[in-house]
Order: sequence, then structure tokens, then C-alpha cells
Amino acid sequence: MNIFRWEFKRLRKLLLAWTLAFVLLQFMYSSFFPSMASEEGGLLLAKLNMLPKVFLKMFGLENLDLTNILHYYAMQGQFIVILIGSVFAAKIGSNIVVKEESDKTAEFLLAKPVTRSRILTGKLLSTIVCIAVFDIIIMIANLAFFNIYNTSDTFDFELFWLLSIAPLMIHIVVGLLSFMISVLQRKTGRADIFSLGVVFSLYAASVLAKLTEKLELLKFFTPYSYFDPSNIVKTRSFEATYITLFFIEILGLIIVSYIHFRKKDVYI
Amino acid sequence: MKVIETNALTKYYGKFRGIENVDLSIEEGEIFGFIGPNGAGKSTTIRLLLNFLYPTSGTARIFGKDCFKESHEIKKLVGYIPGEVNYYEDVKVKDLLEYSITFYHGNKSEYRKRMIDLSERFDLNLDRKIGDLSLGNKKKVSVVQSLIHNPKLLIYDEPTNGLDPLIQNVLFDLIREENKRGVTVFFSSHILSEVQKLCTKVAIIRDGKIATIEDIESLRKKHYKVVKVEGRIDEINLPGIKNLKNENNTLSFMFSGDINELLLFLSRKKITDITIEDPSLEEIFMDYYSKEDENNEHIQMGI
Repeated sequence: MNIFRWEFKRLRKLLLAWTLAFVLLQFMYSSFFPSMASEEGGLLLAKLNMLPKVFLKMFGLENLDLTNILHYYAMQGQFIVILIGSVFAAKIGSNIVVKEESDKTAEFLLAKPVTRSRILTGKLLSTIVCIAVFDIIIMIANLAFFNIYNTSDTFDFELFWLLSIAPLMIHIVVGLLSFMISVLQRKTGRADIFSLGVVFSLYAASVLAKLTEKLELLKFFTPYSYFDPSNIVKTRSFEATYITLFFIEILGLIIVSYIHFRKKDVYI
Repeated sequence: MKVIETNALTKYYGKFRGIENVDLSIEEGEIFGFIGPNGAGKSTTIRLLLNFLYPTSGTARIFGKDCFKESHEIKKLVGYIPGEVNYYEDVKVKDLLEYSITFYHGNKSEYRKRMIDLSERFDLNLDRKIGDLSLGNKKKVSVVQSLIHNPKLLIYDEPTNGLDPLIQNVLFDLIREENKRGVTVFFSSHILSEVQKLCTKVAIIRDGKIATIEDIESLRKKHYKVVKVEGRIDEINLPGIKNLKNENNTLSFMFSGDINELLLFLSRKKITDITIEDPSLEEIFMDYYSKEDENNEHIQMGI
């Protein structure tokens, strides 16, 4: 636990800054909602629906009634919270192991009476907790903002939770993927760039899977498809296949990280 | 009891040689010097002992435990100073040392007391940020860090690097004190005088291989003498003479042959002054390091 505490403390400032920025962004977007639900907004939406279907799909606007605050969130949230939030998750995960080797601080930790596995567990836990805190605070902030700016009398809590858990699930996969990259790489800069590249490729794959029937199979390979907000609005659930894939993936990423780190030569 | 024991320990970095067939055997209570030029494999050996690296082949044991399977057990009893100190730059010295303490079982308040005592002894300010410290001060942090938990073995990789002579002496005193309490010290360096001051035994590593392991005194005594003779000697030709120089009527050479033959020879000459000395360690080691005619000379000199 001492490693976890130390690592988490070191991430604290970054976590605080990113969370604060996202809470402010969500506040801003939520405060726009009443104008979206107003008459002028209705006009805009009517025009939007005349756009080509491909376009609507690409921006995740399909199935959405933007005068409903949760549908509105499904639209903006997938870019802000899900995609940009993934950058945060990737940053946390991709730095946490490789940075010690790159900055040569690993020498301190490796000389202590702990196993490699315990070192990795401390770092893994602090990555996951950091991402969870980030998403849960945004979740709570959203709950408050949506209830302040909701123009309708009802609030669909079930859909709210589904839409709010989606980013957390995606961020965990992204975080663990970056974590594994962090274990495999030797230089901080490369792990960073590589992780971000993977994040955006996975996102692009999820869009392509929606757009082209030929590439539909891609949806099984990217967490952005598993927890796609416009799809959640339509089905009001997470699909069992996707949930299974999600757990297989995180398990796989964790196992590869441990196996490699236990036998790794750490060059200092 | 053997504290460190390696057997044909070998490490290759891909195709590049790290160390080859290193056999070391260090007894409890020794201050063991590990000498070699940069790139000879000193740090590779130490990093293997601490399991930062896995070996290509061979074995290593510390306190009888396998360095690559029970490393975490071994490290309970080991204090380590890295050659280059790289700690988390953005934390205070105190926070790092407190973090270090959390890894060891035992009386934490005793450790904390030791932390404060040692810091005072080294004149180390605990409230400074590590990133703001000079190289020497960072080294002090690593010295304190290596001793807080009362280890039974100190593995010091060039510990004097970056320390000023005054602090070096404080460190040497400390190492001697620890040694008196029964602590074994494995000490790497490329500076010979400090090894001479401190160590009882020394291993010389060159090009990844152990060249020799000897008691520091016998190494110095048994092999050869440095001879300087002033007088009228035109030529000297005896077995065991090396590095013969003739300047201003003074002959100087290293001699590893029969000392009686030398005296007999000199007694027939007219000489005005003579000195016969033990060589300095530098002179001995230069011999191991010099690549020219290495084999012949080593054999000739009986090393």
C-alpha cells in the first residue's frame, strides 16, 4: 500500500487539474442546454436532421433527441469526456512505469525489499484509482449540472448512470492499455506518443465500424464501440458480448504487464 | 559465512558483453573493493546482484539466497548507493527518506532517529527539494538512505563520486564503523587510493572478466619492487626486469626476479644511491589495465 499511496500522491496535482478542467467544461456545456431546448434550438435541430445520415452517424447524432439533456450529453460527452478524457487516462497509464526507467528513479524502488509484482500492483492500483476518481467526480458534477439545467420535469436516472459509466469503462481499458505500453517501452516520450496513437486509432476504428458495413467487425476490437453513447441511448443497456470482451481485455492487459515486468531487465 | 557468492555470472546485452564468468566470493565482515575502469562491468555486476537485471547465465547468491528468485528477501538486509543518484526530483529529502522507511519492517521511530542522526552527520538539510540539490548532496541522500534500516551488507557503487574530500572522510569513517559492527561492504571504484585506504580485499575487473582477486597487502608486497639506482651502470640484464629507464645517470626499473641476484649484481658496480620500494597500487593496476603485451607481462610478473 505504501507504493500505491506514494504513486497516487504524485498523480494528485495532475488529477486535480484535469478533473477541474472537465468539471468546468461540463458546466459550460450543460449551461448551453436550455438554449438548445428552446425554439431556436428546435430550428437548428430540424436542420440537423436534414443532414446526410452518414454525417449524423459520424458525429454520433443518430437516435438522439437533443432537446433531452441526456441525449444532449450523449452527443457532447463522447467527444469531451470520452475522447479527451482518454488522453488523460493514456497519459496517466503510459507514464507510470516507464518514467521510472527513463528518469532512472527505478533504482530507488528496485533496491527496496519488495517484489516486482508488488511494485506493479501499487502502480496499477494508483492508475485505476486515479481514473476512477476522475470519472466519478465528473459523474457527480454532471448529475448536479444536468438537474440544474434540465428543462423537462423528469430525469431518467437509469440512462444517466449508463451514459456516465461508459466513459469510466473506456478510460479503464485505455489506461490499462497505456499501462502495458509503459511496461513494454523504455523511453517516456515514446510510450506517450504510442499510447495516444493507439487511443485515436481505436476511436477512429469505432467511427469506421459505424459508417461502413464492411468494417463493422471493427466494433469488436475497440472499447469506443462497446460503450458508444448513441447506441446506449438506443438500447438502454450494455451488450453482454461487449461486457465480456471488456473483461477479457482488461485481464489480458494486466497479465501481459505482470509477466513482462517480472522478467524485465531494467536499464538505469 | 559467504555473504556474496557468484558463479560464472554472465550478462550479455544483446550481442554486447556486460560481464563474463564472474566468480566472486565475499566473506562476512570484509570490506571488499571492486576495481575497474569505466565500462569494465562493475555496475553490471552490481545490478545483477540487486536483480535490476537478469543474468544470461550463471548464479548469484547473497546471504545464501538466490539473487534472482528471492531478491526482495535479500534487500531487507542490503543498503545500496547507486553510481549516479537519480531520485524523484519534485519531493523533499525528508519525504523520500520517509518513503524509504516504509519499505522496512522494524522500529520506525528508531529508523527516523537514525535518519536525523545521519543527516546531521553529513550536514544534509532534510527540507530541501531533491531537484534543487547538488550532485554531492544527492549522494549524501543516497548514503543516508542506504543506512537507515541497519543493513548487514552495503553495496556501494562508486560512493565517493561527487563527494568532497571532507565528506568522503565522514563516509569512510562511517563505513569503518559499520564494518566494526560486522557489516560487510562491497565497494566499487575506479579510484585506487580510496580502495587502498579502506578495503581488505580487492577484485579487479577488466573487459567484463575478473582479472584477479587478492588481499590488498599481499597484492602490494609479493609481486615486485620498484628500484632506483644512481651511479655508473651502463647496462643491466637480469631476469625479471621491466620498464627500464635510464635518465641522468639514474636507472629505474621494476624488478620481480631474485632479489639476491640483483644485490649481487649491484655490489659489483659503483653506485651512489639506491632505493628499493613497494610499488603503489596505481603501478600495479596500470599493469592490469594496460592492454599491451598483457599476457606476457602478467606471466612474467607472476600476477
